[in-house]
Amino acid sequence: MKQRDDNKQPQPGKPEQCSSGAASSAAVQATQSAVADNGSEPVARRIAVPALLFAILAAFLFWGDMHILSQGGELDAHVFYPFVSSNELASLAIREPEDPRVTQGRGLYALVGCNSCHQQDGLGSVATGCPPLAGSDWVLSNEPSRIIAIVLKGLTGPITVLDKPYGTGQMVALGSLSDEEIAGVLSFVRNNWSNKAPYVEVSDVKKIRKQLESRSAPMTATELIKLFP
Amino acid sequence: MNNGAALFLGILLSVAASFWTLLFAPQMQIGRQQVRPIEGGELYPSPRPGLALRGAEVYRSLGCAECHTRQVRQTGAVFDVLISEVGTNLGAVAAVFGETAIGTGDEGLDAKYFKKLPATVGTNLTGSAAMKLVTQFTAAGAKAVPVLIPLGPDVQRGWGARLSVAQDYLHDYPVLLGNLRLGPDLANFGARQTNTAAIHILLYDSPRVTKGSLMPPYHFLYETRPFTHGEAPPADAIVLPTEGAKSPTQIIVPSEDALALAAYLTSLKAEALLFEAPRAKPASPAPPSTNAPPATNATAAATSPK
Repeated sequence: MKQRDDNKQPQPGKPEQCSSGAASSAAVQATQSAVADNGSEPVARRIAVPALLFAILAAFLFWGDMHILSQGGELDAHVFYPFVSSNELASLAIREPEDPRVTQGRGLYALVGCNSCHQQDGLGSVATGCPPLAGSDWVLSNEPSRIIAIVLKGLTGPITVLDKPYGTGQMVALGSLSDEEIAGVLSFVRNNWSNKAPYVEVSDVKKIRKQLESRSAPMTATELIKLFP
Repeated sequence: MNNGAALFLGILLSVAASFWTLLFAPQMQIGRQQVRPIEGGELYPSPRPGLALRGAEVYRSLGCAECHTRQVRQTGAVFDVLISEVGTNLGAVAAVFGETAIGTGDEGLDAKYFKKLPATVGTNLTGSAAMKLVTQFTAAGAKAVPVLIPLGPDVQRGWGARLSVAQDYLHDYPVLLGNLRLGPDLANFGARQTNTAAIHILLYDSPRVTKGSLMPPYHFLYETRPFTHGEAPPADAIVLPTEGAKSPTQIIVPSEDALALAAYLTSLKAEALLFEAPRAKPASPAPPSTNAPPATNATAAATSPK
């Protein structure tokens, strides 16, 4: 420290750098006389930051954190005052109790693997020749016999859906599912995405299953149109 | 400056932290919101038609946002539970109420609750409590529905069915939220007022429509012409109503700016049901919301420009 003080010897005739300006000439003189008295220029030394400052800062930090926790809406862009969490918003959403058939069908759609070709969004895939379900004229026809037959026996050959040709692949037969399960998955397909069509009844599935009992080959589109006009 | 580097770093860190949390992170979240489909498959918000876009500029240049806000606030939301059908198992329904009988006399539950259906069986409920009650009533064979009641002075004034959220302003640049309410909030003006002729009369001379209105008359947006009662007004003109039984003597012809402003005002609708802005479903299926200027009524002819 002594060494540093020695380096800062005052230079006669040169005013202090930090105290330029006419208004502070008195301060300059005071500093210069202090330098003359002590033989060295005053310097800022390190002093300990008061512990109270840290305590106050910590208190502010805690308060801010608590405020963000209670009012921050989980920092979710979709939560606005007065709502505090997306869970609260979800509890305010109007839910109409879902038909148990649709719930069952939703599970089956993934479980059986419908989504591997028809996709989760129901749009199918041109690459695999798999027609869409969402908005499909086949799915949404009032009479569900054709799609029941397709699920029961499978489908092969070309098919035109929404004026576009599909059908390079083959749909597997899902006749091993129970009548209730087929009715469920078809009800789901007919009422998911933006589809809206009457539910498929178990009795309809029973009827078609009986009608096609002796058949083992997959259906074709032309045959379906002939069978169920 | 013994610790110049530390000081510089400290300032940089403080500025960077506030820039990050107050500007950058919100921009990442809200600035990236996009038009998205709402119930019914429609995209929300739907873009304003060209005339309304011009009207937004007129709205901005006339300083409408100095006195009108475009944001509905909400202080909370509760549920009411309504019963629309009691069903056949009255004993089970009574059990939901914690009572044993559902008599038919004055003391009976049906006199108490179900004289007139739909009946309110629960108020001021949270979402989960309402769903629980609905489930109980449904299990008892009754038909119960939860009805969301938004709370707050703005909602009570009829300025909107829900709070305003960021999604509502996606097509606005700049967003003219406003911060002073000398006039009513306009977030849903187009949902309240669909008569273009009435809007023109309001813009021409607001105190004529609302007593004590502070809104200045925007005469310069219109051409005023004398009008003899009985003759047919020109197609674009609006007959200015007079007080009392006096027959009208003036018609106003809206300028391009007035037509654009009216189109913009009728396009102000922010009531779609969004996840972040829950609202009660409208009682009757609402007509498909379009931003096209509404049909004018027959008596006062205000037509869109040809």
